[in-house]
Amino acid sequence: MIIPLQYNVRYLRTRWTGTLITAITFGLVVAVFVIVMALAQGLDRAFVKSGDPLNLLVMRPGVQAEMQSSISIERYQIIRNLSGIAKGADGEPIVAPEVVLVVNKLKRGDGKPSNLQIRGVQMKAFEMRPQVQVVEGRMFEPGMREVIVSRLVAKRFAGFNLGDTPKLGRGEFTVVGYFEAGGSAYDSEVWGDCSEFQEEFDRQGAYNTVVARATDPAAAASLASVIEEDPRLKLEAKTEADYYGEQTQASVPLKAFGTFLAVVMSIGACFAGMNTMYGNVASRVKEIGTLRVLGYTPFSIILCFVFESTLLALIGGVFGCIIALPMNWVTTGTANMQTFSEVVFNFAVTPPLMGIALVFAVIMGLVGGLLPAISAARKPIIECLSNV
Amino acid sequence: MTHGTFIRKNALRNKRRTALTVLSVGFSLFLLITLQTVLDTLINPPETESSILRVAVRHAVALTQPLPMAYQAKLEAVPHVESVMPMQWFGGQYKEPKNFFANFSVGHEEFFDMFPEYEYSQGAEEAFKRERIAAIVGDALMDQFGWTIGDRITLTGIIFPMDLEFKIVGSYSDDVNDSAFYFRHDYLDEAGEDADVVGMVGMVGTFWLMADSAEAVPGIIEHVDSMFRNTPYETKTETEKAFQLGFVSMLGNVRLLIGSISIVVVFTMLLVAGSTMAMTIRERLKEVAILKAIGYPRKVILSLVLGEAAAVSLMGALVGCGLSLVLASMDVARFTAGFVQGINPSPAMLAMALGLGIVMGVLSGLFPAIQASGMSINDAMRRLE
Repeated sequence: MIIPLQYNVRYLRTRWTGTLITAITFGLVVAVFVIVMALAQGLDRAFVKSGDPLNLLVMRPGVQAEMQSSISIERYQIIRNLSGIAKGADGEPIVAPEVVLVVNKLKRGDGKPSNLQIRGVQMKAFEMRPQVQVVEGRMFEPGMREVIVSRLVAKRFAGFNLGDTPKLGRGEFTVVGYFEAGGSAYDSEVWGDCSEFQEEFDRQGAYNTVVARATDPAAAASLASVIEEDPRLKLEAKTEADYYGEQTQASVPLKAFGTFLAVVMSIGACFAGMNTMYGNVASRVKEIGTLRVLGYTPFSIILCFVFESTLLALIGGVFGCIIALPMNWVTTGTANMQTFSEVVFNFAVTPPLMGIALVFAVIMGLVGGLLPAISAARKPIIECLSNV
Repeated sequence: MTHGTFIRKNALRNKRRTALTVLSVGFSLFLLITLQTVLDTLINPPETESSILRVAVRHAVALTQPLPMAYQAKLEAVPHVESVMPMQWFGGQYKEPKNFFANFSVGHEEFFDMFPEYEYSQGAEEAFKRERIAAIVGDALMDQFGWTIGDRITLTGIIFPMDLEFKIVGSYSDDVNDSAFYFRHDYLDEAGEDADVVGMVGMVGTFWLMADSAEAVPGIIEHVDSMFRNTPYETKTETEKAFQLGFVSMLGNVRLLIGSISIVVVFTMLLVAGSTMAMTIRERLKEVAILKAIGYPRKVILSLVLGEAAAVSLMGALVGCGLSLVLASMDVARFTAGFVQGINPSPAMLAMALGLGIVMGVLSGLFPAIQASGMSINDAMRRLE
């Protein structure tokens, strides 16, 4: 026979101060966990959103970031003429070389320096990355020393507003437009003309990467193997989706940090929860005795108190998720040590993450409630009833 | 019975509750010490006698843009500069990407002047200056891969398209960092020439200067940057500490993140200790009434309750300090992939934790103590049904 859940709910309500304090304790632990994990998830999301499975990224074998690669103009010409590359409206193959560089710039808030990734592109790049859209101002004009910047970058770095003339490379460039890239890694970049950047950064004669648009997934796979097997090229090709998938390891330290925090904080919270539950048991010894006399088994007493503790933790878990939720609107940035530049992104408090957090809360409740529940069930009936 | 004994007996009356509170406070303080220690090592890198004399020169645009090697002579001519060493991040890979460690090419003539604090193995200096493919490796790295002096190893170039073979001619130990791999820049430069790498030959990522005194450092920084202003290769010159902090600031607002987590931790600790103390005093109201009835003044009752709360928190603080000392003895660098070299809380940090423990104890006892001491005897007696 199971003791009605109403019994626990009513008790928690009557003892609301104790309930509240314990729930807040659990809630804060859950909130810290959710916020740090939301940071890691936001970072992952920026990478996952960037990769298009039809865009093949050609780089030197073994490199981990675009910036580390270099591809000569001759090799670019060879790639351009391979079959399997989609044709644009103008009948030309959709393929373009890119240069990827970093510049050290000051951040707005704390005035500290950080590396900003800049990408020199040809106009074909916009056909391959439709998520990159100019939302204010206009597109840059090649050869006019103009750039467009992500709106997030303009918010995060000083001196990148419309009309500003930040110094990139040797001289100044004019910001003529803001773009948005749907929360992808391009949202952390400044885009300008490829050959202009080559000259500005002494990269004449070489690009960093070549991006080619395949007609379909099968063509992407075969084009990749053609590139890798061509003895003239000695290059590696992977889909953008795969490349950005690899970048998600940037969030591994954050996830480890979040897990460490969660473990240590939850141990502390479990001890506190046990204290509350032992108190809850102690103040109801008489009731426990009565329940036993009525015929409830020791097992149902255990069930009852474990449920109470779990409910308590769950209230805390929900409270924790609610305080973490507003972080969804917070933009932050961290270094991707792979690309040696800053990634700007939003925290991502997602439903699955909140689900994990609630499970985590339930586990804390179970662990914290089990021992007090067992002690309640083991009290002899006579002792319970004779107790004041 | 003295007041001290009274407090002790009371604190230990419900042993289970006290133990749980002590452990809860202990784990929270352990976390706090760990977080603050990590933050401290990040934002206050340890300084040594020679590190305050070192100055880094890099391209003003970014660390990834190289400077011409010809700058070395110009930098040597700057007043108060004793030595100038080129240094280049090679970023080579040993067998697999997961075997990540720092590897740099350095000027072999100046290296030993630049890092006088390293303790080198015997004969390392002579061999490094003699052999072109020589490498000097930190002790921790030697242990990690089981290398011994005389071994030949190959690093695969990632940023530079070439593989280089090295002979380990010596090792070094150092308190701050002993997991780097140094080899000769002339070897790298020559290999770059052979491999025909665009824009690499005759260039280097950074120059490191050694000043003759700490007072001369600001002047050197100013002198170097103005010397190269409005040239194709403008420089950004900064102290070693500022150079390191540049990497930390790239990570984002670490101080804000760790700071706010620390506040939450302290707050939860206060909640836990406070609610336990409230629970304890509520159960003992009758005794408080008796104390009053036999003439104990308000102040004494107040301090008895506060004393008990402070004692419990202090025990928690001791547990927290103990846990962090256990962590300090573990090889943290191994499971943080070298990102955190070690978490060794300073004595000041431990003292801070103990102090915080006492303060929190007093705060957590304050509300129940005032409540108990302020209550009239009649009220207290009646409250117990």
